[in-house]
Amino acid sequence: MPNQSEQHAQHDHLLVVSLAAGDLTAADRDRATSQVATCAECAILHDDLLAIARATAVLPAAVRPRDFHLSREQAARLRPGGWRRFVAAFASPRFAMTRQLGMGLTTLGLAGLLVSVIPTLQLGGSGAASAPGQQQDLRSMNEFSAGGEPAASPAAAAAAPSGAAASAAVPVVGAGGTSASPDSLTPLVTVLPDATSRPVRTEATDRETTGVAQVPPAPTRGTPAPDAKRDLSAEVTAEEPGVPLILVASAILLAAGIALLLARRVGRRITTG
Amino acid sequence: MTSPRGPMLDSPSLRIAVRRGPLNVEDLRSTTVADDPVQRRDLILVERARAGDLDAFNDLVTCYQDQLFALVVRMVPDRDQASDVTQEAFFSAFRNLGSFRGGSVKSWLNRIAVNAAMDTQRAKKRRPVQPYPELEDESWQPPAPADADPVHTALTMERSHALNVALASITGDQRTAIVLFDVEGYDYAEIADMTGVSLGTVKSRIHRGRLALRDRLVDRMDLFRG
Repeated sequence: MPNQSEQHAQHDHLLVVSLAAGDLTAADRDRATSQVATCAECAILHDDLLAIARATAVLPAAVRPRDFHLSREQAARLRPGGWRRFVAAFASPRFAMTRQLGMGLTTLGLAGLLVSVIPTLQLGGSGAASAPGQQQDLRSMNEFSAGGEPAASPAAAAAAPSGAAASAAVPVVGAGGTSASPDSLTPLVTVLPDATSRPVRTEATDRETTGVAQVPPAPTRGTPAPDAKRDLSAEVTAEEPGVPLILVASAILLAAGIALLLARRVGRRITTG
Repeated sequence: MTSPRGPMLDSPSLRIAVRRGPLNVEDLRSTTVADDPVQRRDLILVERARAGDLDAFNDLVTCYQDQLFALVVRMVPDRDQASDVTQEAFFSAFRNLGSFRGGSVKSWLNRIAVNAAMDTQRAKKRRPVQPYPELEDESWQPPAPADADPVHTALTMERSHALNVALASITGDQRTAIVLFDVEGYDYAEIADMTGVSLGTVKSRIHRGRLALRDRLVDRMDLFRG
């Protein structure tokens, strides 16, 4: 048979607390009263709770260590005027949502910027990673252009031997009266150190130096058709830089969010000194 | 006839600055007229303070700074922190005079102080330090009356000290609820409104807090019995 302490441990102590507080329904009060009547430790607990509540109610008030009157300067700071009043409003409890709103806008702006920038970075990264290969491709393309297409521009052919590499390379790529714009291709060519450091040796220039007649050779098997170059040129020109709408919207959101957070921070500084 | 140096005292053209009398309570915007003279006084002071009268606000501070500090120091039993919290509560009250919507000024100030104290409690929970070392220092307790019985005074001080230490050791939410209920005399609904929790939560905090107090004081209950 369990002793009294073990029985008391199984009793509902909160019921006794509620009885001491006097906020029980009639049914619970009867149950609590019988529990206190039959268990001596519950009765002691009940009396102790009443004694603690009485002592808490008459707890002496602590002595105030200083005076809390507001000085003129403090009042002026707490009631700012002009723009300070406007900014201080952002720190008031009425505009408590400015922090959440500012953080939300900033997050959205950052997310939007990332979304709009990451694809560009990936393209740039893959381009950088394959730079040597691309360089090789361009060089072979230049050579192919010179070999597979007639150097239609006499100026280009004339410039090549003189060592003006860039001026030679540009017409070569855009040769044949294709739709390629030399301007759009120039950046691709000028990234090649070889193209700028030494003249591109083309078959056209060779022919001119050797006096071979400029007869356009038939396209050989395995070499790309002129249409392929046209597609490449079109692809290059399609990368015209434009400002995506998401980028602008994200920048606006980010700026608005940061402005809100700053206004709140400055407002808090103004009001709290 | 006017003097060449200016109007005479009995001249009708003499303009005398007359101090504006106190505002009628009926002038108060959006405040309820109270029958309680203390409340009427408070409402008048609030209205004057709203109009920019700093002295009126400082009169309110004079009326309530003792009571507010006593409330705060029970919730934040560190005297320096409680002092800062009380000052911040008065700052907040001054800033938000425009948002006072009538009713009891005392309750309004208490609510502001309770919120400020609860903010401090939350900050203390985030950055726990040694809890309230000043409880050992009793110099800030109110002095006993000169004609008081020394034994009774010693017993009272001992009981208060034990109770303060026990109060400081329970959770901040429980302490706030117990102080507002037992010391300040607010009912459950008012405490729920002040602290922004449900009625059941207030009851639970008070009950569990009392149980926790008793657990901490079980060895010293002889101070409280009899």
